[in-house]
Amino acid sequence: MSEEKTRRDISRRGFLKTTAAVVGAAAMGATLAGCGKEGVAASGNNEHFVVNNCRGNCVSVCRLKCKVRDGYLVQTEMQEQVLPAYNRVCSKGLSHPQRTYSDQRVKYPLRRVGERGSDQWERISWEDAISEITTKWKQYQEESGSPSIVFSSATGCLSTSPNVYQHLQSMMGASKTSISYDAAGIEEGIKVVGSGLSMSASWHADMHNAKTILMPGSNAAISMVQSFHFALEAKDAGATLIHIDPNYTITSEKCSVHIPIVPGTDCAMFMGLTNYVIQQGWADESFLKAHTNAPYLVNKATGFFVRAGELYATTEEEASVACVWDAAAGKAVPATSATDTALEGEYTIGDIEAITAYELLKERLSEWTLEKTSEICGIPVEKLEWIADQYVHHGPSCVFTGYGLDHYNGGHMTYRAMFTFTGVCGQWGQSGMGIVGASTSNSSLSNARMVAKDVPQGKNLAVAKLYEIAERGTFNEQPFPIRSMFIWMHNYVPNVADRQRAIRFLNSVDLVVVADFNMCETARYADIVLPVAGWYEIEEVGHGGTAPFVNYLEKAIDPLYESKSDFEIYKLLCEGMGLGDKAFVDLDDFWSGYFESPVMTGLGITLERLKEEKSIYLGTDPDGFDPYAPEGKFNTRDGRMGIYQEAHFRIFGEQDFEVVDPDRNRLVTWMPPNEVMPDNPLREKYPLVYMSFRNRYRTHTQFWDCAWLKEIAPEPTLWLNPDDAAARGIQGGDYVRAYNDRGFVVLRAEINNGVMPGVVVYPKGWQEGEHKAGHISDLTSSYFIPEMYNCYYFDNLCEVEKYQEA
Amino acid sequence: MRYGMVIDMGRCLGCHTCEVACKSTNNLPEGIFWNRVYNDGGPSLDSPTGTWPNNSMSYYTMSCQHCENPACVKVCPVGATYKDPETGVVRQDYDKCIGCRMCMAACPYTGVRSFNWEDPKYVLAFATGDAEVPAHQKHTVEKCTFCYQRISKGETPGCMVLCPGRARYFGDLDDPNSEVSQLIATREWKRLLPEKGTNPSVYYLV
Repeated sequence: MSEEKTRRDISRRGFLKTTAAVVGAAAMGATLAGCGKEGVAASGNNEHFVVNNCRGNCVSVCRLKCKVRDGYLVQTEMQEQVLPAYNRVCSKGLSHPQRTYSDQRVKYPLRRVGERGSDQWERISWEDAISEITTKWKQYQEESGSPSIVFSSATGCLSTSPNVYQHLQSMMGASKTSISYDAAGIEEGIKVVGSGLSMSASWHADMHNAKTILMPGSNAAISMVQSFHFALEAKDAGATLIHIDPNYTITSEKCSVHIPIVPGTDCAMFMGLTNYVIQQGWADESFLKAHTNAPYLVNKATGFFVRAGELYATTEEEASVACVWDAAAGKAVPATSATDTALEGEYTIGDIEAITAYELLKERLSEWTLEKTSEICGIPVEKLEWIADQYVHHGPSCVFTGYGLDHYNGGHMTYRAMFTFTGVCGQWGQSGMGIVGASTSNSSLSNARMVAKDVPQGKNLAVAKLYEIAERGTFNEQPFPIRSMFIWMHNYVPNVADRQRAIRFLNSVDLVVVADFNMCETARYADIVLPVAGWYEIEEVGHGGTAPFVNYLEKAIDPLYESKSDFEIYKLLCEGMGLGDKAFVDLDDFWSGYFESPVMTGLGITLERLKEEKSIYLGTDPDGFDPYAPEGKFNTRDGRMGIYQEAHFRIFGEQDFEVVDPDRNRLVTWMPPNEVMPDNPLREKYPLVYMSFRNRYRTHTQFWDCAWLKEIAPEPTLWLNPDDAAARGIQGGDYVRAYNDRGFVVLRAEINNGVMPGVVVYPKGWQEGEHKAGHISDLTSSYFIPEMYNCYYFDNLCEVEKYQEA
Repeated sequence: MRYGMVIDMGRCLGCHTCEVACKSTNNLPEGIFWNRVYNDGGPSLDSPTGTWPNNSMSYYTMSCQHCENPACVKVCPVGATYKDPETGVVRQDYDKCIGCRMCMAACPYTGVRSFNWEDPKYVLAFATGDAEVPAHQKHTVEKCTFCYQRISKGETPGCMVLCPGRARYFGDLDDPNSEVSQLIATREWKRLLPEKGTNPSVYYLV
């Protein structure tokens, strides 16, 4: 039967197909409980509303109007934002009643009775739970040192109070983890443009004023669904939206143009584009001179900047300022006092042979002709020329991207290449320019009171390193046992790369404690699970993610069962560790630190004011048009974009034993993906690139326990291009086995015409027990290049075959 | 007053927010959806048409079209389904409905009407959404009501509260100054199955 349908003739068969998919859902609901409960007729009168937020790590932080009736949270709907352009909600945010009352809630403290991961538990009291945890922690401190206890959180809940455990960790001198999720993009963003957490840069409403929006490696119509309308509004006003992605998705459809690219080669693309812009004479030299470190003088012998203090006696403050060549003065001067900065040239200054960083950049880029670039990334030369011309001549231009580019080894350099390209084009500092990323500047809050000043601090371990540290037993060549993990707002097991290795890691740890409000996959691998109160069961202060506000959130219902807020649990653990008198006295005491940060004091926001107003805008422009780096002032130490990075250093996780070649990371360098390059001989065995899309019905793994969402998407799927499917005798609806040397998973196949031949795509976020067999996260590799500790989720090959049931 | 909807297919991202909003607001039982996302052309819900990379794709949502000339009203033997003269809403009286499903056979928009073969089942022990939603009943047909419990109080239907793509509009088609009337007057649109003569009140901007 023909699948083609004209716009005016929607056949009945199309409807029935969808109906059948929904009807089948009830049978698949492995985690649905109580099918058969009848809806209780509502009394209707006893209703009130409170305003709260969703807090998942889609970072949209939708404001929610919570309806409470007869003591139940019966609905969460969109609540207007202070700036209505940011009004938002999604299928997940609407599903909180189901999440709140899910039978997967942790009701009381649990202690494991079977093998780890066997999901067998006994109920224990809070007293016993806290006593067992703290007794063992004190024992580990004695035997192995405080750093052997590792506190590990991620981004599962974007509000303030779960962060309070960091204070306990600091007071104990315990170790902590840094995320290795999206770390390449975030870390490079912090280093080069000074953006905050989660690629915070321009506010999303600011896309309104862009005339060219470049979208590499992003399925924003799904992954940033709440911000995508800003891009579409720009398009309605005449902007050109350029989607660069191996696959054709709804994002591609809504953009003006879709340009396919070989997976993992965006760095090469940006290098070629930058070289072309420079060769054409289009580089924005005045921007480069004033707002980047491109004109800085580099000591050829050392690779480090020439600093004022090396050249002459000066104040301590000025001694560390890097120098540029002032053409009018005919000498090297501190960049802060130059009036006629030279962008190019080599200079002899005493016995220092110096060259501008820009000369080194040009040299680095010189081999990247469009022909070479095109050969690697697969984009035709004419299209590369067009992209460059658009970005330079049809601005204001910005990049709207997330973390697709992060997920291949070498990904940090892809972001460097992106920043370099946009910097050379000078498209920063005015409305409609810059980078629009997965969060916004100012929106992550900091609290300086969380660090215990007089306690030797433990280690900062990248999540991606945990398993290898435990396997070796050393860190930085010193013995380093990991005796305990305390894990909260972090569903580590199904989200980290190389899941089987992660399970072996947890099994090697003496005590695994998970604090969560539902029995997520990681909780199933714990020794003790502590029930945390749900999001609508506490008062809270939180930021707005890509909605640039700080919010005070009202409690809708009391904590269910025996659950306690993170703050209460923190207090109990502090008492148990003998640190009760050093703990924050109450929530207000804890929150006060957040309002001492420069962001809050600068905007005149106090806790009292926030409790009064409930939601306060973190900016000044009434339309929300706030470009990042206004007038070119970047939030970096020297106020400039750091195209040249003198020294390699790490933010997400301390340096371990790896040796990093300093020169490879000073300027943008093409570092090809580890596994997926087309010429990898491994492709004989595993010819398909294994990558994921953001799942419409989950936020990573969150909302896995919502029946409404499981009715729409009852089981995990694998999307194949029709040619790849046909070559393997696979039809839509078949079960298929995807596998490589690391593991396998059995998924229901869907034929998708937009998937690039040679690629398979799985909507991510499924957990153990939901797959027909295996697990999506068993195929991903834990390999990372020494430069950057990260999980490189798309840098994997696999083969797929029709599944034969045993 | 003649309520209608306008859905901008240029803005629909196929995100299912409106589908779940309806489910939540009206406390829909398991297996029942009154508003669904459809893919215009591809072999699966999220597949474009065409051969990579020459693809295109389009989503739209569909619920009861609240037709001016409803096929369902004509065939209902007991008058359980009827067009409300005040609002134009095609309503369903569960108490009168005998479960013959003639309306489902007559309606050309397959899928907008659902039938409760069994006792309605719910995962939660209480009703979600609006208190005034009539209880769902075994052996009755049910469908979109334009959230009658809301519009009768001047409030916004659940699916219309917030569409992330900004694709959805609701209002009075008899008022030339309403947003829906303005859109129909100024933008290109189509309706579903116009040849069936049902005169639907839902317009899709193309």
